[in-house]
Amino acid sequence: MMNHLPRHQLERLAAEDPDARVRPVLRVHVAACDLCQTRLRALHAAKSRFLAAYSSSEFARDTFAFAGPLPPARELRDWSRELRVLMYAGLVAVFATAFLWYGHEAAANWVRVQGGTSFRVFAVHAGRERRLLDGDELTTGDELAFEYSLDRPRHLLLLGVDDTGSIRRYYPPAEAAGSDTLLAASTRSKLPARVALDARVGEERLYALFSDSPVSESDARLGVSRAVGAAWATGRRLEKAPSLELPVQAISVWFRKR
Amino acid sequence: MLRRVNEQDVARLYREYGYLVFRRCVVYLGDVTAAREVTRDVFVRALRNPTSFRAFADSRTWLCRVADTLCIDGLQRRHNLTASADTVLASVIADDDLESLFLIRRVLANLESDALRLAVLFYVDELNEEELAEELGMSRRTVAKRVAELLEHTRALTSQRNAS
Repeated sequence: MMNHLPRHQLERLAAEDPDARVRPVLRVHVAACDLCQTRLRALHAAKSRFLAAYSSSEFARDTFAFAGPLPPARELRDWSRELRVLMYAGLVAVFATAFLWYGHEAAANWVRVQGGTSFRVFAVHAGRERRLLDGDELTTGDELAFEYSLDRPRHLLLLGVDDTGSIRRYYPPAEAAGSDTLLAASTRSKLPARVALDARVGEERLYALFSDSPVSESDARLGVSRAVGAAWATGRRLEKAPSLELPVQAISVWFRKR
Repeated sequence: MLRRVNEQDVARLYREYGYLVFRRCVVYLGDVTAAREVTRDVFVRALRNPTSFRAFADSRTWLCRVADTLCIDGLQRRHNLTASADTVLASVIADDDLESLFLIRRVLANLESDALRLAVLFYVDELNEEELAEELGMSRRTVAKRVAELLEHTRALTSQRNAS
């Protein structure tokens, strides 16, 4: 006998959205469960009362009016996809040539910032490790590994923000205290934290925030949230690195999860 | 064909999810006017970020995550936000489970901002520890520890109310 349905599943059941992922077994459970039926009926009734007070068409009209001008439609048109693919392929060819021409070390400098601090992100797929560069695509199950070089002890907070605005802390790892951010001076050391990518798709930007004195996680989260929010407000995406108003040296990389 | 989120899409989404987004915002903010504004802002995000929104297979998850982010950000920015009294909320919102909503409001009112989302996912969405770990990107062990702290906090709050 399965447990009663949690509220998030009931809400999915109450929605007539074809995208709502409701397993058939849950519908079967509700059909046979008085408690879940009662909760579902109450949910439907509350939704109806809510919509009676402010209809969906009124809300949609008001929301459009409030939103103002939207991003230009050409950014969304399908025909431009092939063009973008060709453009990206061309850029990849140029960068690959430049990489081979100037050698491994030259490309590594993209993460070096003033004060002798560098940071690299690696994607680990099927046991093979490669450097993660802006715009790279990763898949579920891939892991991220991190390498840093410091000429003096510094604090590091590593945060990721995805295209829904959710912010996650990757370093210090979840098991460690949020204040445990100090790294010793060293050359090409690996961070003890590795991150396995979950099943969510979309874009994400990682921010490695280096500082000489500790920056609180809540301040850092707020800074990232504000920067991303400001970027979104002007129609920009994570692809364009929003600058942070924080007393840190920020190194960031953007990737996509498929 | 990837297309813009149009007025019909917003109306449909609001019909299906508007109530739960608004209820979620009331839980966080405890203020009906602020909750209405944030609900609108969530849908504006869907309009302005159609690529991100369309990339998500599950509209509910996308809307809830954006609502969580906006509410927590709003709470950090608006320190002077005063929660409405339970009686005011009861007279304005047509909730399906007011008793739970008030209890969750009381729990959230005494939590630090980094614990808010966990509390909402646990009490409002009723996610289990495995689902919480996945949603929050934490280990199961950390989630179990945080949930135990949350339950302890709730127990203390309840016994304090009973005593008074």
